[in-house]
Amino acid sequence: MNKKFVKVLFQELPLLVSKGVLTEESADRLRKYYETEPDNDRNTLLIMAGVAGALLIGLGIILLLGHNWSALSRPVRAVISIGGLIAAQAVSFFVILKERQSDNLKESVALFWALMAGAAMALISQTYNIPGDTAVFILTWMFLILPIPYLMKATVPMIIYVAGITAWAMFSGFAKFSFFWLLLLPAIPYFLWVIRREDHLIRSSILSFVMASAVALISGIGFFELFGSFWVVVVPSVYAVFYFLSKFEFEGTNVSWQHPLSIIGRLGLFYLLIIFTFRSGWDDLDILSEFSDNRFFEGGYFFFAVIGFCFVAASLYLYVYSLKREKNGIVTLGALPSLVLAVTFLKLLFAGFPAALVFNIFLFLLSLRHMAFGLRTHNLREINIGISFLFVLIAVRFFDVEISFIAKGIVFIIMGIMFLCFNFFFARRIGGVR
Amino acid sequence: MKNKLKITAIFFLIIAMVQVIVPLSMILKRETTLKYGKELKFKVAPIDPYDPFIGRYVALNLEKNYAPRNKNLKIIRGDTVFVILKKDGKGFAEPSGISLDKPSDEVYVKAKVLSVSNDKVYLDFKLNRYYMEEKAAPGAERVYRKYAGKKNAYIAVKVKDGFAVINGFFVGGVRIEDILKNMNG
Repeated sequence: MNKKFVKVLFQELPLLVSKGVLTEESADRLRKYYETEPDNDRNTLLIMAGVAGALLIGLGIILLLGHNWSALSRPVRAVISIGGLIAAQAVSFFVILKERQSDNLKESVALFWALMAGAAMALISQTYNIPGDTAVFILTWMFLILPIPYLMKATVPMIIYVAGITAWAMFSGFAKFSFFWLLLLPAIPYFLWVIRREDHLIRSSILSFVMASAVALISGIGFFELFGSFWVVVVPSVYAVFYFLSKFEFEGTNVSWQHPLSIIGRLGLFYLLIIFTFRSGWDDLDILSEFSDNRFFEGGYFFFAVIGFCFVAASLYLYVYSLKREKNGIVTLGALPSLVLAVTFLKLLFAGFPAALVFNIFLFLLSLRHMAFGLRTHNLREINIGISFLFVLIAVRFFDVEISFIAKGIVFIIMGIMFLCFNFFFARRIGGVR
Repeated sequence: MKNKLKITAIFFLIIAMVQVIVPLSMILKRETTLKYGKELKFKVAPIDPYDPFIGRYVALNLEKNYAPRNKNLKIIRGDTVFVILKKDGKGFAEPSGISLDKPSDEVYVKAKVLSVSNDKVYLDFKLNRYYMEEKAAPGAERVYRKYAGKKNAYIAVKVKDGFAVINGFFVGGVRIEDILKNMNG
């Protein structure tokens, strides 16, 4: 919550009441609503401090054991590794039994427990010179700690789990990417439970941020590997689905880090859109031949391919849905997968189809739309977004080596004149109003 | 409420047991191998990297990381095979053959096929790390460099039922930890 805003609001309240804008009653209700906020802030701070404490102690123990004390005999090492784990379990059990459990205690104890399971595994690996298979080490550790979030109702171990299985997939290579989705499944009930509770925005936001990043990363790399040139449709679909789903994210907050899906979705779509404005990528596109000999009809990859097609279908459906329901306009970032699909299709029919040009125009329209919307609603943020989109487009094209200097120069000058005209008209209109 | 707590407690106990059993079985399997396994020596060439979670180690490259290829056996990269081990004239282990079935009366270890050439099968024995005390691992690499070519560097490995556990790292027949102790002392 924006504290400055609350302060200003509280200062204004008496004035608003005296002028009859608000009744005394509603002013009181406003005060009550905003006064509960600091409490939430304090709780967040406590959780953060507790988690940082447990994290530092747990990692510190892992580091101390990492020194590999040659004075410790094998039996002593066995006792330390198993004993440390059992001690962490005992503390956790004590916390579970406690009648009134504070979130900050649960989170820090659960985190410590998860780290001690890792420490036990690390110490054993060191003692018996277990071969350096990082992927296996991570996966065993993640299996051991998966039940902890459910038992303790604690989110931090689940964040470790999701980050861990992502790291595992990266270490294991693409051949095992399909298993990532299976490993992600057991995290989903917890995730749904947390976002439904909504009472601690920080925990649910960080978890959804980590989950969305993990899905974006693995599907980005995986679909790129699996689908060959067809990634141009599949990968934007993932981000578009995030983008549309972000509309269902928690309302009642303007803080952007609390909208992870929105951030990741928009950034991903924008980045891809920039890539699509380059001509060379489209010239190298060879969908049909890659489609015919692609491996996604093989058993292991089939599951992954199905997920890819689900993303495409979902993104198209959500786009049409948003057109119907929200009157959001045709030109939005969420339109990217549909546009790519259409352009790819046309490119297949007519080899000379100017695909990159379409995306340049699309980005241009998108920036205009943001600017127009911002001007209409006096929303400076929207105007800035539109202007920055435009400047990115200009910069990218200015340094684009694929277009001749003459063509670039002429287009730039024409557009410059258009903007000056617009400026002139607009200034006159505003002047007229004055 | 009481009932719910009971279920949680039972669930907790199961999880806690599994969490303990996994590392415990890791320990037991290796302890029995070290106690009852047959000892083999593999010549190695070590270097010194580190693992953020587990600590510093000496990375081991086995000199004989291949076995002669039997052309009747169909083997591809990634297969897990049984490698039959013999001792050469100087007492070092030497892979003498590969089998897809468990050998009955020979000493063998499980290994993963890295690649297959015309007459050799290259193998990953999963004997690639020897963890040492933080300050000692770089010292071990120096010792190896100093004696390279003059003395043999090898790891002693205990093998039982195809499972191998490293039991020590030696240069010229002396435990590396002892060499380092004498150098510093």
